[in-house]
Amino acid sequence: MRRRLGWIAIAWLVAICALALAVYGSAPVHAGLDERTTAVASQLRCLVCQGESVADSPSGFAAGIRALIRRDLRAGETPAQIESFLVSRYGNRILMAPQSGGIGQIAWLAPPLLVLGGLGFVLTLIFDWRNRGRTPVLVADSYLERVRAELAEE
Amino acid sequence: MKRLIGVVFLVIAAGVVALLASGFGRNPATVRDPLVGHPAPDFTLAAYDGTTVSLRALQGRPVVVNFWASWCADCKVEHRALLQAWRADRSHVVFLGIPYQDSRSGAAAFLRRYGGGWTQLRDPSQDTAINFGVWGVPETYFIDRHGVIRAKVTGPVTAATLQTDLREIAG
Repeated sequence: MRRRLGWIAIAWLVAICALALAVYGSAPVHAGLDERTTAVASQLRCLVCQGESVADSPSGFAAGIRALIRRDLRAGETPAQIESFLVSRYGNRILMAPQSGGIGQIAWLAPPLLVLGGLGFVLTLIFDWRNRGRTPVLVADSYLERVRAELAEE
Repeated sequence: MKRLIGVVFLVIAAGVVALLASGFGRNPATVRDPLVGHPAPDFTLAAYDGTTVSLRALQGRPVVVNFWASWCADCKVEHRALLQAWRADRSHVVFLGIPYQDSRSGAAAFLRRYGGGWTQLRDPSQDTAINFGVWGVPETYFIDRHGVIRAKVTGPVTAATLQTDLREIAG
């Protein structure tokens, strides 16, 4: 049972790491211009849409941003430079995910910390509950003597 | 140990809940604009009347830049206030309009119907709009004599907001 719980904990950690990698993952360096444009656009929020990225939205706003990304990538700018420019114009709200530096780290660290903390709390409760039945019960000698005497009388 | 983990968990959870709860008291539409207080991005655009306008060349005069569109309902709402401000202040304030995601004929029909004699600039690539951080019209920028953006109104301007912001850049 304890080993199984250990595996569950490891599986949780692996899932969290995979999620972080998926979010942080960047486009392959040798991808085509279309793929690189889409990769950058997918990290940006369409500000006139509900929960859509610039890559997914058919809006004129998103089309304008995609055109700018494409042109800047062709001119040799890096995705980080393009994102930085757009953040300087629209603020952090243009980003689909919070920035990984500064105060934005809280948003990244809090969820896994909460999950790990909750997991640890639940595991501790389970271990405590399982061990409760095995813990020897401490009884005073005088009480034991009295019980034995009463049993002997019967 | 169990108690310690529980306390740490509760402290973190309380922090996150407090952070989220603080957001309920704020209007998500009132986001501080990163360009206010900074020099306005320069542009050189062709006007519908055939001239070319450079923002840098206008330094020394207060400038109002209004991004709008003929299909935008709020642009109709604000137009009367803009027209009145332009008539009152055009001698010492430069008014510029930049139609956003609009056709030339649509913009021209709007101006014929509702009036407005200030210069209208073409921004077909939306580069200038993006440079100013425009995402939905109407958006109006108030630029002082030194080329610094002193205020931005997202949504329709009113006579009152125009009066306040014009005083700030023209004062």
